[in-house]
Amino acid sequence: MSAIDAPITARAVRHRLRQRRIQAQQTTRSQIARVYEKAIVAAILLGVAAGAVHPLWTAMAAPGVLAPNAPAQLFVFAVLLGILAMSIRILRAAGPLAASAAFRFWLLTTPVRRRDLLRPRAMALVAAVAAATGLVAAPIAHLAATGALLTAAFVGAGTIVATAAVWAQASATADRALHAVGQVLGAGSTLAFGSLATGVGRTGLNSALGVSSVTAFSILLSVVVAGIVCAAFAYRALDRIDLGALKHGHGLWTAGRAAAGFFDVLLLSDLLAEQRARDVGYARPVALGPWLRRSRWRLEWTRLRRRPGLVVRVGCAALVWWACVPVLSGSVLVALAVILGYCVVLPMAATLRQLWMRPTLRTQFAPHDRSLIFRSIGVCALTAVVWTGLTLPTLPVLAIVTMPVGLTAAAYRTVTRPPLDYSMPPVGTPIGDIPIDLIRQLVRGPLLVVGVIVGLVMIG
Amino acid sequence: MHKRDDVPHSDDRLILSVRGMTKSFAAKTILAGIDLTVSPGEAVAVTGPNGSGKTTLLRCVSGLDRASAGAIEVAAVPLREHDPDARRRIAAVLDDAEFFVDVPAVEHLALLLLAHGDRDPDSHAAKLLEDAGLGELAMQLPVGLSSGQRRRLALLTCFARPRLLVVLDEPEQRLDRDGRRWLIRQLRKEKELGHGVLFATHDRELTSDIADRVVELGRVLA
Repeated sequence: MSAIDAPITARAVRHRLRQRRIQAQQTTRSQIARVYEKAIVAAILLGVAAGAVHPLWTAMAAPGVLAPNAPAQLFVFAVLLGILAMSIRILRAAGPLAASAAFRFWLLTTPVRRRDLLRPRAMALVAAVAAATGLVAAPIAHLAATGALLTAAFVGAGTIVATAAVWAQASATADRALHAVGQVLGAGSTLAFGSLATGVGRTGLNSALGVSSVTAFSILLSVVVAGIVCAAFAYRALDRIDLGALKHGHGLWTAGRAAAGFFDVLLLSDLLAEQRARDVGYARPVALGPWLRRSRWRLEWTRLRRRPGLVVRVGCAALVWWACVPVLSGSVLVALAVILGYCVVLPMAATLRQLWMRPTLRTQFAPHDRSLIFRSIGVCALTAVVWTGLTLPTLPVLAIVTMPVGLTAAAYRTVTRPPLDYSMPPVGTPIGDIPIDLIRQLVRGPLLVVGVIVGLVMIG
Repeated sequence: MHKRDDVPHSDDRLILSVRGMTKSFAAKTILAGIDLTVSPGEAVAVTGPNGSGKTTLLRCVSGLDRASAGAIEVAAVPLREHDPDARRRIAAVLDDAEFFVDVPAVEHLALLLLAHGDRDPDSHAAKLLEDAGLGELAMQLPVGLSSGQRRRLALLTCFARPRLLVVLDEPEQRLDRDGRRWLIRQLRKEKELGHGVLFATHDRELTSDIADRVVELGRVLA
C-alpha cells in the first residue's frame, strides 16, 4: 500500500485508541493505580538515565589520563572503531526498525502515512543508540588524552550509524554502502589492534591521533553535517520501508527479549544461525577428498569451509589479546585470555548444540550420534589448544593443560544444558524470583570459565 | 540396496510389544494400561481425538519419553534409550525440526547414510532425494524448504537409515497429492521388507491403505 495523504493523523488515531482502551477497561481507581505505576517506572528510568549521564558528563569534562604517545591511545581508537563496526552489524541484523505481526497489520490497513507511524520508533532508536554509544565510549575514551573530543565524536558517529541504518532499511544501495562502511571500520579496528600487537606503525598512528584543535573542530563539524544529512535521508526513507524489512528484524528482537529474560545468549545465537541460513538459502558445494567423503569429520570440515569466519575469529581474538598485552597486565590479562578463548571455542560446538537441542535429530543418527558428538568436542578441543598456543607466551606454564581442558569443558557444559525444570522452587534475587534450575543451568559453563581464571591467577 | 549396518531381524518375534503402559504428567494420566503389538511386516495405525495421547505413546515407544509404568520391548528386548542396539532398531519421525540448520538437504542425508555405514553416501543420498521429488533442492538449507518439502525430507531420513520399526506421527501432514502417493509407496515397501510400522494419524484414507490394525485411543483420562 503506498503512502497517501492521511484523512486523519497518526497522533489522532493513537489518541482515539488510547481513549477507547481506557474507557473499556478502567475504573477511576484502577486508572489512578495505572498512573501511579507509570510514575514509579518513569522515576526509576529518570534516575537510571541521570546516573548514566553523570559519568558521561564527568568523562567529557575531565582531562585524559594517558600521555599523548602511550600505546593505550591507539588501543582506545581500535576499541571504539570495533564497537562502531559491531553496531552496524547488529543494527543491520535487527532491522533496525522492527514491527510485530499486529503492528504490521496496522501499517497495512491504516490509511495513515507510514512515516507518521514509524517516526516515534525511529526517533527512540536513534536516541537509544546515541545514548548507548555515549555510555560505552565515555569510560573508554576517558583513557585518551582527547577524551572529550573522542566521546563527542563517537556519540555523533553512533547517531549517524543509527540513522543510516534506518535509511538503509528502505534502500538496497544505502544498505550496501552501510555494509561497506562497517567492513572498513572493522578492518581499521583490526589494523589498529594489529599495530598495537606487533608494534608496526604504532608510534606513527599514535602521533596521528594527537590532532590539533582546528582539526578536531573540523572533525566534529563534519560529524554533525553527516548526521544531519543521514537524518534527513532516514526521515524521507520512513515512507518507503516495506513490511518485509520490518518483519526481518522482529524475530531478533523477540529472541533478544527472550535471551535477556532467560539470561541465555544461546537463544539469540540460535536465531541468528537460522536467520543466516534463511538469508543464504542454498549452500555452496564443498569439494571433499576421498578420505573426507567417507569420514564423519565431513560435517565439521564443510562447516568450517563454508564459514571461514569461525577461523578468522580466532585470529582476530588473538590479535585483540596481543594488542591488550602492552596495555593491560596481571590477572586482568589472564581473565581476558580465558574469556576470549571461551568466546572462540563456544561457536565451534555447533554440532553438539544442535544435537542436544533436537532429541529427534539424535534419534536419526542413533546409535552413531555419539560419534558426531565426539567429533564436535574434538573440534572444540583443537580450537582450545590452538588458542592456548597463541596466548601461552604470556601465561603461566600450567595453562598449557588447564586452558584447553577448561575451555573445552566449559563449552561442552554450556551447550549441553538439560531442559529447564520449572517445578523446582524459585529463589529471590534483586531482579525478582528466578527458578533455581535456571540459575544452575546458567552457571554450568561460565562457572568453569571462572574456575580456570581463578586457577591461572593463583598459579601465576 | 547398499551395505550398511545390519539390524538383527527375527520374523518369528514381535517387533514391538507394549504391555500395561501408563504415562502421567504430574497428577494427570495421559495413557493408562496400553497394550499394543506390532509384528514383522505389519502396520498399526493409532487414532483418536486430540489430546488422547497418540504422540505421547509414540514418544515413549521411540525412547524420547519414559513410560511411567509398564513394559516396552523392541524385538523382545526391553527398550532402553541409551542402549545402542535399541536405538539402532527404531526410526522415528515425530516432528520436522530434525535437521542441522547449516547443512543442505543432500549433505544431511549423505551424513546420515555415512553414519549408518553406507560406502557411497553421496550418490545414494542424491538418488533418494530424486526419488522423493526433492532432487532440485539438494543444496537447499532446511529452513528454506517449504513445510511440505521439509516433511518429505524428514520422512526420507527415516526410510534411509537401518531400521526394524518405523514410528511416524501424522506422516501425511502437509504433503501434497504426489507426496501422499510417495508416502504410501514407501510404507508398503516397509511392510514388504518385513519392517514394523506404527503411525498416528487422523487420515482415514491412509489408515485404510496402509494399516493392518487400528488402535483407537480414547478420551483424555482424568
